[in-house]
Amino acid sequence: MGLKKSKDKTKAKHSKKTIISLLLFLGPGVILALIFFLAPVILTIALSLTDMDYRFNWDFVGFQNFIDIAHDFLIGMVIKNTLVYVGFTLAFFNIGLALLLSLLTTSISERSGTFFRLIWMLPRLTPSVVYGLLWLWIFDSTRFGLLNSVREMLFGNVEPLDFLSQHPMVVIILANGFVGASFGMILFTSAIKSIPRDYLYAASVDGAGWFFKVRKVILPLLKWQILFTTAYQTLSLLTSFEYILIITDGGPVFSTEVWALYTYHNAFENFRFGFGASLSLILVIIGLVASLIYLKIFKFKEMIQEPRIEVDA
Amino acid sequence: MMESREFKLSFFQKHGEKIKNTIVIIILLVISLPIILSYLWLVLNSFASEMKYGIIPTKFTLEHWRFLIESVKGYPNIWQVTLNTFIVAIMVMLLELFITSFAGYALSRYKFRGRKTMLLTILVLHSFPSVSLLVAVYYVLRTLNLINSLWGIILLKVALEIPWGAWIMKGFYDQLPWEIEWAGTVDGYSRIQVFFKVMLPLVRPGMAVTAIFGFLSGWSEFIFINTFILNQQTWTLSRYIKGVIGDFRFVDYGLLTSISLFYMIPTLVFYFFANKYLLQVNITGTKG
Amino acid sequence: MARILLKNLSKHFKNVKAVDNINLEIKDGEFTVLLGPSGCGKTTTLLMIAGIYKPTTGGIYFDDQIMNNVPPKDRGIGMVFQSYALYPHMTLYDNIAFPLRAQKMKKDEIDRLVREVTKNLDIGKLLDRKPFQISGGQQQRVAIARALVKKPKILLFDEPLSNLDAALRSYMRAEIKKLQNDLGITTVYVTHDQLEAMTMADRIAVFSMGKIQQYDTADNIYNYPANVFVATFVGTPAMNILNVEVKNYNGDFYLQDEGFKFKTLPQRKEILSNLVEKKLKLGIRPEHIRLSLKETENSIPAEVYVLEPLGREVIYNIKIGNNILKVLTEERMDLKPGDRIFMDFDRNRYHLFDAETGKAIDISIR
Repeated sequence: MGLKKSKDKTKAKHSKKTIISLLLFLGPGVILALIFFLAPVILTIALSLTDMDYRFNWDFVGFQNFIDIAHDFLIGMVIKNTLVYVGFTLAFFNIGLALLLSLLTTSISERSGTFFRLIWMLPRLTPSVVYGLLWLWIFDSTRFGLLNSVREMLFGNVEPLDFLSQHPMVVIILANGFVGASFGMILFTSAIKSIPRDYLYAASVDGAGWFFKVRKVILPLLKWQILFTTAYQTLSLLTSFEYILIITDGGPVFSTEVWALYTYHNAFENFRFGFGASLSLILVIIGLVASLIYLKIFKFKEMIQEPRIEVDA
Repeated sequence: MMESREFKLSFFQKHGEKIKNTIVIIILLVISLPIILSYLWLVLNSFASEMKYGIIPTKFTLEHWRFLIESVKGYPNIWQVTLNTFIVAIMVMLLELFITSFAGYALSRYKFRGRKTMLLTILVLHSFPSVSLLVAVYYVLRTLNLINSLWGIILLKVALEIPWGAWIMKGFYDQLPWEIEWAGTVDGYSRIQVFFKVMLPLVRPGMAVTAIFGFLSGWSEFIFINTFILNQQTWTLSRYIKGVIGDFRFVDYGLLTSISLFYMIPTLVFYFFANKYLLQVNITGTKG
Repeated sequence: MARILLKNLSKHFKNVKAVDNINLEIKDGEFTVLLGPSGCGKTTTLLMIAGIYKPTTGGIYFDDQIMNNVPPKDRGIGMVFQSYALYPHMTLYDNIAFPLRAQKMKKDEIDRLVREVTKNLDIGKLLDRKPFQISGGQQQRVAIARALVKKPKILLFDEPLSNLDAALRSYMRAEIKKLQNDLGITTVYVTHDQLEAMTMADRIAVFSMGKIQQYDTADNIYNYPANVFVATFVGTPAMNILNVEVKNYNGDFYLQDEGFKFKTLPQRKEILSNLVEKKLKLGIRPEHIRLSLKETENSIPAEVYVLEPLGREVIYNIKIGNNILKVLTEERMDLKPGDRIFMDFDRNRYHLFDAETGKAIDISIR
């Protein structure tokens, strides 16, 4: 048999051309990720061990920053605020309200349901400063704010309430909650929509009313989505502070100062970069650990399908 | 022989469906009231000189829109600021589009060592609290001499959003049948040629989604501008508005609402014309 | 036109052996069908011939030239996919012209070739439409046109008819066969439908679990199956298989099972004497069984289980011991489930297989 033999290159995994293509396709993204993710993480660790200030003079101080955190006179309040803020917003809005919205909007006609869901998407789309302005107006301490106008309409001439100063945490939770709810709402809605009609028909035939159907058919099928939203949003809430910055800026008197905002203030208003970095590092570590746990729990590895083509370049 | 019986339906049973629907809609309306009212106020107040009960306009005016012609005292020219905002939005959109269209394809269709690791890293990066790195990012930008520069913001924004964007694009590429790519290679093209001639055109919907969200994200950016841009002339509309809120909050809501409405124009345009995209983006990046 | 040789070809995915050391030699101009159930490795083999997958070990040769590392675009092949894989964003004309444009041909030359290939496939008038605007059958012809337009040396088909309705399938079977006859291109055709394989192939390679069970003409595969798998996979209704043992009663050899005792032809004595006490499987095709109401010399008593009328023929399911056999006949007999009848079968038309290996035992009378 005159078979022309050639070097059996079947062992070589990638041809040169493929490697170049991959570099071009993935290169820019990887470079940006290295500069703005990897480098900062390393820097955060490094900076947290110094006492760098706004002039970028620094001395190595070891773990002093962390000791300072533990003894900081505000840290107790900051931790309490953070827990209250994250806990209530998550429970009542990001999960609770989201569930309510998704259940209600899917129980009416598609058009009406979509109409309301779109209304609830508006906060998420709105630039944060504008959104903050709206909540400032709702709780405005003059009679022109929404809350006080409604009170005037209902009770006649009453003294305007300065709700924002008296219950700032409530305002914060409401503001973040109204935005946060849309995440869960979308996830739960698409899950509810994909429940096979047959399940619900069978339940109806078996005599189930609406509440029963929700409790026994729909909610159990939403377990994964609820878990995912809880995990995802907990991390998101822990590290968010943009709306709080705009609406109360941590006040009055640190009553809404959460950990992430405290970090920000220390670094960019007091210019204590070293100290700020150490505060950040706590969040970074929590973030990394949480992300890795999520990957394990939600079996993301199984969501990834293998490519079905082995042509080079 | 069966007896014929009349089933008496109660009022509730006869109109059950309608009653339920009405109750649900009322509940939804009540819950949504803060949103509906506040956005209404935003629009109405910017054109009203007097409001009853804070929300019902009684006199109309265009006074509040004077900022378009005359700079607000102590603040930079609105058009300069708008231009800055636009530059950030467009550049974020273009860079994101470019990088994620390519990265998404490689992640979806190429077999390579470390593919799984890279995909998992992307998921970690995405759920990572990027804001907690601000201190270190400041240092990085300073080293690159990008403090006070819009490009610093642009690159940072793009970098932080690519993991998510690449995942979304990957999702779109995942949905293209393998046979189409096989056909392209059999028809005489190298894989890169197949990418440009066949795959890329077929993910145009994904590119549209990425473009829109990229633009809006760049347009709405606030916190990085607030932190890293010190020069008023380099401000974007978000920082501008924050400043105005601080100064004019109890004095001139008209000005605040008109500038805010002005700022929201692209958002509202998208909202009214392309809202079907909003509810389509699948968060987990799998089929559907 | 080209010869294809697959030598010790294997494809492993992680720890799954999709294709397990196969050898296949396809002659120039031959129509070979790769037949088997899903997951048997036939499509993976086809994709390796195309160059879309790379072999784990072994070689693929076109006309003695090794092709393992040659990319699909340089292999001179045309391929028709199960879903047709037409490019949705291009017109049909552009779809068909696509392979020619890769070769940087001149516009008029491209136009001439596209018109030529579409004329014979009766789609010339549709060319400025897009794929979603035409029917499945028309899409398939466009896919075939695209594969043929570059005058390939080898033509590959991956279950092209499975998305068509029965009538269209029957029509296209004949059309594709005729096409291949006229053009004489070496063709490899993958399908799980044994009817397609039988009617279209010059030779059939029956696949199971990554291995080729038998590679032969349709007739030989039907009449001389190499093992139980091939015997039961090809032919509808499937060949009846019973577990039997060879028993020697006074010099006569019987094939015996519960409720079943069948006397064999004396010419087979020598062969069968070597098989006594071995566990065997007996295979009889449904059309080789005869039923009658009267007992005859070698007939076996049975009970009618259920009837499956097919219009032209009837399939009788009969019960013997614990076995249900299918019998195919055109004869109209007035039978109901539960009736007692007698069955006999053509003593030259049965098969014996080794029960352990499944391999056919040669019982031909010399």
